[in-house]
Amino acid sequence: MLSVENLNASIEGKNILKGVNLEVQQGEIHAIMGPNGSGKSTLAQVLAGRDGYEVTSGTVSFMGENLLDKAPEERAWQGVFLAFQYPVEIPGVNSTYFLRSGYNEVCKFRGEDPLDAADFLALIREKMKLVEIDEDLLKRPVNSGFSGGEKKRHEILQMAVLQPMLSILDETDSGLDIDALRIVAEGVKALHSPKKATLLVTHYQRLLDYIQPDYVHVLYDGKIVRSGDKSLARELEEKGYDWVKSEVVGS
Amino acid sequence: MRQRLDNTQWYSELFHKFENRLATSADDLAYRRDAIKDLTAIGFPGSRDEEWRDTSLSSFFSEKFVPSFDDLSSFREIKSLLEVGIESHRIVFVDGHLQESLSDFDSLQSGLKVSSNVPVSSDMSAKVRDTVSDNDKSFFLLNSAMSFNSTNVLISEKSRIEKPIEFVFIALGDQVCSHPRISVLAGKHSSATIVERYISLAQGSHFTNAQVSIHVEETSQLDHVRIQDENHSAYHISSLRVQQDNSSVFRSTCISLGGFLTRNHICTSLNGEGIESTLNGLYLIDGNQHVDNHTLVEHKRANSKSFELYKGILFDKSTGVFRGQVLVRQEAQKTDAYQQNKNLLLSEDAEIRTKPQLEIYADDVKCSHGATIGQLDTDAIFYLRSRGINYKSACQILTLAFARQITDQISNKELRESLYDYVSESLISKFSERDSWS
Repeated sequence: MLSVENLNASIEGKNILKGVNLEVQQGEIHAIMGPNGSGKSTLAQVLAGRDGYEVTSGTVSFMGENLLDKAPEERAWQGVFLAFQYPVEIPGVNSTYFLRSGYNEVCKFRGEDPLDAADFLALIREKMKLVEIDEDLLKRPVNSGFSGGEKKRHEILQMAVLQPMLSILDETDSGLDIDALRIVAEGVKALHSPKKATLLVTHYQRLLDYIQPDYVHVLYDGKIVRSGDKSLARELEEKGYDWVKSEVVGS
Repeated sequence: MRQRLDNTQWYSELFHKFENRLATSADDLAYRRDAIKDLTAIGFPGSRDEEWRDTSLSSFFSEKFVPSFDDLSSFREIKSLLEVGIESHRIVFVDGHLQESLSDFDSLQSGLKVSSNVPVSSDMSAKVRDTVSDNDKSFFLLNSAMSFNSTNVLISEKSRIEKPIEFVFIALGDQVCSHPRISVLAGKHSSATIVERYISLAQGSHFTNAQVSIHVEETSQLDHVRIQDENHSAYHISSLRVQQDNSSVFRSTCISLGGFLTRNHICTSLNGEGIESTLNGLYLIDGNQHVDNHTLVEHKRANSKSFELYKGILFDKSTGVFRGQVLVRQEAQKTDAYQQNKNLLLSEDAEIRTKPQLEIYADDVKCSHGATIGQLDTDAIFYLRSRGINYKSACQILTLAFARQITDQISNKELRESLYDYVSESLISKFSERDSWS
């Protein structure tokens, strides 16, 4: 489904990704782990198409098409979703209106009929149960005055509505208390299916206690330096990232 | 001696030609003659006047506008224009002439009195003539000489006027000048909403010079909304002078969408204690439009609050000016004054000159001011796009949200929603006309 080959990317002339290779198939859950500054978030942002990053070499194909050619909205239409580490507050834009606008553009791309306000409300009420979000929250402007936990649950709600093929979760576990972490993790698990793929970008093991990844990759200094199964995450938790760093330096 | 490149001579000749048609009595004629004499003496402002440095009137001086004396009330397009809109007590003017047949004089709510054809020499504006600041005196004098009549609005004590009192000024003839003039007295404990709406049916240039005086008496609440959407060749000058007494609440919302050259001057005088005064504004312009907003909030006594938020959205080569002055007199201790001017420049060629000014003579006050000039937030744009919203729509949604903060503060629900829709439509058409966002 997703194939990243020798991806090099820089921001403001500084190389961040230095040859990332990654293959993700339908039905798989991958975790990308690594110390701060290793390029995890950059990888997530580049896959979602954020401006400001320059891809200097390498390719990314998604469902057989060149992903890097596409605008962020086109990636969303095709089924790429990024749950933000820091969801953006947008004063003056109603949350439900925002989500319906995105949903209807995705529908248009898929050749489905758009939903009017009433039908969309019904859809969103159904999805809200999954993340235990209060309906009043959605009457407020996008993320405005939301707590950290509410913002992250709102991200998962958006994911539930848009039904992406590939969900990329950028540090979704950071800053969450144990209850919010459980709700978010259950939501992500419920939305995963044999037809879809999930990419968890995380610093810590704790999210992986709830969601068992099929593969774990360690990103360090812009490269994937180790890959393994879920036991690698546990090993990292025990030994810390210094263990990886010393191995890389030593090799 | 002021350098005379202006066209006061033109207006002086024009006045003398029509003075007998304009004046309603010998006293009124004398008052008008005085006004035109004073105007001829001081002239129109030029680039040497500090308060007019960023707004050049040179193109205005080359125009030769004339008053219209035609009866146009039966003009078909006017009727259809008035069929839409909000529920209101509506008073209609065409090219400066009151249109009784199109107005709601017969069905005014009790407690509301609207008198038209008040001599300009005896209205509220005439009484405050000496307090008119130098920088908008010329247009005040021109209005005093040339206005057809003055309209007085009286909201009696304790009256709550439910529907907005709406003045519609329609410019019909090309090259026509009109000089709207309104005085409003909001009696003690009353509440009301006043709307001024300016539109053009004229295709070519015309000139509107509106002078409005408002007195908000003790504990009364007045919402004032002005929406100017004249054609893009029009010259629009306006002044709003507000007097506020103890514990009164006044809120002005000044929306400028139209005009080739627009200059709005708002001056509020907080004469008592416990007053709340809000000045909000929005200018949404494109092409070669120029909008200049000048405001002065004067705190004269203690314990009052003023809030001011002006927002600008500028496309193409449009230019904006904001000068907001907050003056806190020595007696005005415990004043709370807040002022902000925020601008979105949506083109590399658009330009804004902003100058917030605080002048404080009291020592125990809380005042803040600031100005921002920027583009749309790229983080927010990316967030919207990542949810499937295309780039142009994302920009449009964010721009509309920026504008909405102004319309959202209007008290009357129907008016608030209709103005939001109006601004929204104007903005959407600006985005759809431009392909630089696709």
